[in-house]
Amino acid sequence: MNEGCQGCGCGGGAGGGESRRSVMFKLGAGLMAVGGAVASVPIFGALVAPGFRRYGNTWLDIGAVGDYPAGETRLAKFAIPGASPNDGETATAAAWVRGMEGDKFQVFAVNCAHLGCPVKWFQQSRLFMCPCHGGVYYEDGSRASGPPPRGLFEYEWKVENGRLLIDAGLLPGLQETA
Amino acid sequence: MLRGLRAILGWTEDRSGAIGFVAPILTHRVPRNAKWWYVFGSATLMFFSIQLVSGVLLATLYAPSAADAYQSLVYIDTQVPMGWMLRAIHGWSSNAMVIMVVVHMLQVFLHGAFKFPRELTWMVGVLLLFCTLALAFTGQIMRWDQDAYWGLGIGASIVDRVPVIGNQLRNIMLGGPYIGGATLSRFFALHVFVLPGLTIALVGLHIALILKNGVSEMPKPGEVVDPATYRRDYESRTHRTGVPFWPDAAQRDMIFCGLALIMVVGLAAFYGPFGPNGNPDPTVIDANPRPDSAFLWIFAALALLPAQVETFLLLAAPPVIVLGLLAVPLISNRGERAPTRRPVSVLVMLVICTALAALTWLGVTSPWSPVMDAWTSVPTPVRLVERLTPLQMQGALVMQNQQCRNCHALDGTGGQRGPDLGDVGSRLSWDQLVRQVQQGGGNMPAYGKTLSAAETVAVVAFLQACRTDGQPPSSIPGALQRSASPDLPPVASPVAAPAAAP
Amino acid sequence: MKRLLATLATLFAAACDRVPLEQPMPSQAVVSWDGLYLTHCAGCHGADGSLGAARPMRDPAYLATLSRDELIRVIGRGQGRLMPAFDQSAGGPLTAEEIARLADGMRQAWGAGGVPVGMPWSGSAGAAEAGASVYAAHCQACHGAADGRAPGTHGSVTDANYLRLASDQALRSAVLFGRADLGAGCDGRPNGRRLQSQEVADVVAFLISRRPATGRSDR
Ligand code: HEC
Ligand code: HEC
Repeated sequence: MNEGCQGCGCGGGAGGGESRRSVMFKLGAGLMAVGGAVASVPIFGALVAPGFRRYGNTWLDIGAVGDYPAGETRLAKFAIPGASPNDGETATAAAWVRGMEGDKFQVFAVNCAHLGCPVKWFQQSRLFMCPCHGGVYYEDGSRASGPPPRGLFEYEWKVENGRLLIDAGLLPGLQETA
Repeated sequence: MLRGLRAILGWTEDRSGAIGFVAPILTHRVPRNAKWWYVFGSATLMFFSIQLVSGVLLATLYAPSAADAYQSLVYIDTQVPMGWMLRAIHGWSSNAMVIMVVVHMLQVFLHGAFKFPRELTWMVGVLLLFCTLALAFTGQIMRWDQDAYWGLGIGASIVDRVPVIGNQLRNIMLGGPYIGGATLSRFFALHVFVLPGLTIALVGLHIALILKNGVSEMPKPGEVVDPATYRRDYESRTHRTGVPFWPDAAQRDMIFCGLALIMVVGLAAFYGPFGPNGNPDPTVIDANPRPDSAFLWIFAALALLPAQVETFLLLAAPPVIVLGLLAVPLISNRGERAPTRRPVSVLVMLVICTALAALTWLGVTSPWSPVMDAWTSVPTPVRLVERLTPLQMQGALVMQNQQCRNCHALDGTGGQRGPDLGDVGSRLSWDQLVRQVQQGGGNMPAYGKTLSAAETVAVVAFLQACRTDGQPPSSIPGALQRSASPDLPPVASPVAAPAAAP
Repeated sequence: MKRLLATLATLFAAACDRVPLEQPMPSQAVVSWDGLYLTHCAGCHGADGSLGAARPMRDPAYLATLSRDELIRVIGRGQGRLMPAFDQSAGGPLTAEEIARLADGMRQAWGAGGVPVGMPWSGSAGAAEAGASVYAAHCQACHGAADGRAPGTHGSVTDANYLRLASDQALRSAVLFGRADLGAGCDGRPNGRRLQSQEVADVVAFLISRRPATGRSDR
C-alpha cells in the first residue's frame, strides 16, 4: 500500500507490469475529482449564486403625490425590499423625484452614471452635481458636463390612489436602466 | 538551572530539528555590499506582521455586520482602552506597508535584481504587491462609512461595465443586487481570511526563493548577468566575500525597521485612526467620497480619462498592468544590472513614478470636483464687492446663487473645475460672456434656460467688472461696445436669447 | 531602570485616557451658529457678516429692528429671487432647530447694543409720486437721475434689470439701513436726517414703480 502510493506519486511513471497500480491511481484521482466537483457545488454555489439569480425591481411606495410638487425636485428615501436584517442603514436607498405639471414625474437614481457616486440636486441652478469626478446633469436628467457617458438613470413610476410608486430596489448601473 | 534548560533545549532540538532548520536560514551568506538599499523588504515584512497582530486584535472587537460595524468602530475608538490606538496603528501601518512594498519594488527594479535567476522571486513579489493593495482596499471597506459605501459603489460601477456578464459579476462581488450586509461579509472574509492567508503563503514562497537563489549583489556597471555562468560566479563570490545574514546584514534591517516602526506608532499616536467618516447611509447624499491614499491615483485617472475610451481602459488596464509587471523579468533577464547601463528601464520607471505621484496629487486636490458648498461658503472677494454697482452686485449674487462658484474661483477661492474668473472681464467681451453663460460649452452646463434675462445681464455685468485693478474691459476693436444698458435684453448670441419685455 | 519603567507606565496611562480630539462622529456633531454661518451664509453675506455681495448681517441696528421670527422666516423660506430657502421643508439643508440656533447666534453676537431704527422692518409701499421727489432729494446724487440722464456716483438703482432681481423687501431694507459696511447712506442721513416712515414707504414705492412688469422669461 505504502509502496504503491509512492510509486504513483513520484511522477506516475509506473512501468510495465504495474498496471494494477496505475488503475488504482487513476481510480483514486477520478474519485477525488468527482468528490471535489460534488463538494464544490455547495461550497462555491453560495459564493457565486448572486451572479445567477435574477433580481428584479419592485413597485415601492415613496409617498403621496402631493409630497412632490411641480417645479421642484425632492429626495425620496425608501427601504430596499427584501433587505436582510443585518444590512443596517444600507438597507435604504434614495431617489430624486422631479415633480412636473399635471402630476407627471421623473424619478432619478441618486447614483451618478459615471461611477455611482451620489449626485446632489441644486434647486437654484436646476442642476445635479456629482462630488466625485464632477459629472453634471440638467434637471431632466440629461448630461450637462463632465465624464458621465449618459444621463441619470431613471426609474419607472406610476400613481395609484394618490401615492407615487417607483419600480426600484436594485443598485443602478450602466447595464440596466435603473 | 542552566543545565536543565540546556537539557530541555537539547531534547526539543533532537525531536524537532528546529534550530538545525532555522540556523542555516539565519546565517545564510549574503553579499558584503548588501547595505541600506536592502532594508525595504524586511520593513514590509515587519509591517505585515504588525498588521497580522493588530488585525487579529481588531477582529476581537469589530462587529462584521453592516448593521453594527460602524457603531463597533465608534465603540473601539471611544470606549475600549487604547482601542483608538489599535485602530490607528493598523491604519498607519497599512499605509507604511504599501509604501514599503512600492519602495522595495522600485529598488529591485532599479538594481535589476529581478534578472536571472530571480525571475520567479519578482513575480511572486508582484503578486504580493497586489495582495497588499487588495488588503488596503478591503481594509478601507471594513471602516464601513460613507467612503467605504461609495467606494464600493465605484468598484461596482466599474465591474458593471464588463461586457455581457458585468452585471452578474457585480452581483457576485456585492453578494446581491445592492451594497449591504452581504457585501460587508464578503469583504470581511477577504480581508481577514483569504487575503492574509494568501499573503502569508506568498511571503513564504518569496523568502524560500530568496534563500534558494541568494540575495543579489549591488550591481556594478559592466558586470553582466549571464545565465550560463551566473550561479557559479555568485556562489564563489559570496563564499569568498559574503557575510552571514545574521547578525551582519540583519543589524541594518533591524535599525531601519525599528525607526520605521517608531515613526508609524508616533504618527498613529499623534494623528489617531482613519475615520470612520460618517454613517454608511445611502440616503445621505451630502457625501464627498474619497478613496484612501493608495488609490487616489486611480480616482484621479477616472476623472481624467476621455469618455470614449474610458470603459475600455478601465477594463483593459488592470490585466495589462498585472501582466506587464509579471512579465518584466521575461522581457529581460540577462545583461547589465546597473541602472547607469539601463537608461530606458530607468526612464520608464521615472516616468511611471512621476505619473503616479502627479495623479495622486491631483487626487488629493481633485480640481475636477465641484466644491459642493462653495456657493454658500466662499464669499465674493471684498476687492470686487467694494466697487460694484447695485446691478453688478446682483450679478455677483446670481453667481453665488446659481452655484457658479462651485466650479469657478474668483481670485483663487472657490471651485477649481472651471477657470478662475477674477479677471475674466479683461479676457472676454460682453458678447462672449453672454454666449458662454447661455450656451455653456467647454464642459460647462448651459444656463440659457435657467437664467432670466435680468439675471443674465446682471451676471455678465458683474463678470465684466471682474478685472484686476486698472485693466479696461475686454472688447473687440471696432465692434459695438456693449455693456449693461438699462432695459435691454442681453442679446448677443445668435442662439435664442430670452426675450425680455422692455 | 526603575525611573524608566515609571515613566513608561505614566505614558501608558496617559495614552489610555487620550482619545484623539478630531474624532467627532459626523452624525452627532452639533455645529455652532458661526459654523453654520460660515458654511451656509458667508458666501453671500460676507466672511465675517459684512462686505459680502448681499446685505451685511453684522449690523446691530438691522438685527435690532428685524424680529427673531422674521429673521427665522427669511432664513427658512428665503427671500426674493436670490436668497435661497434654507429650511428642510423647503428643500434646504437646515433643520428648524439649526435655523433657530443660527438666528439666535447672529442676534447675540452681531446685534448686541443695536438701536432699532424706529420703523418696522417690513411694511407696505407708499405712493410712488411722492417717492419720486424723495428720490430726487435724497438719492439722486449717489444713484443718478431716474431717467438715466445724470449718472450717479454709485450706480443706478432704477435700472430695470436691477429692480427685476431685488425684492421689495430688499429695497426697503436698503433704504432703512443702507449698507454701513460699504459706507452707503441710503437712509437719508447723508442729507442730515433719517427718512421718515412715510418717505421710506414712498421711495420704495417709487422704485417698485420703475420695475417693468415681469415677462414670462423672468420666472
Ligand atoms: C446665494 C446667496 C445667499 C446665501 C447663501 C444667503 N443669502 Fe441671505 N440673502 C441673499 C440675498 C440676495 C438677499 C436679498 C434678497 C432679496 O430680497 O432680493 C438675502 C436676504 C437675506 C435676509 C433679509 C435681508 C433683508 O432684505 O432685510 C436675511 C435675514 C438673510 N438673507 C440671511 C441669510 C442667512 C442667515 C443666510 C445663511 C443661512 C443667508 N442669508 C444665506 C443671498 C444669500
Ligand atoms: C451717499 C451716497 C448714497 C446715497 C445718498 C444713497 N445711496 Fe443707496 N447706495 C449707496 C451705496 C454706496 C450703495 C452700495 C453699492 C451697491 O450696492 O452696489 C447703495 C446701495 C443701494 C441699493 C442697493 C442695495 C442692494 O444691495 O441691493 C439701493 C436699493 C439703494 N442704495 C437705494 C437708495 C435710495 C432709495 C436712496 C435714497 C433714499 C439711496 N440709496 C441713497 C450710496 C448711496
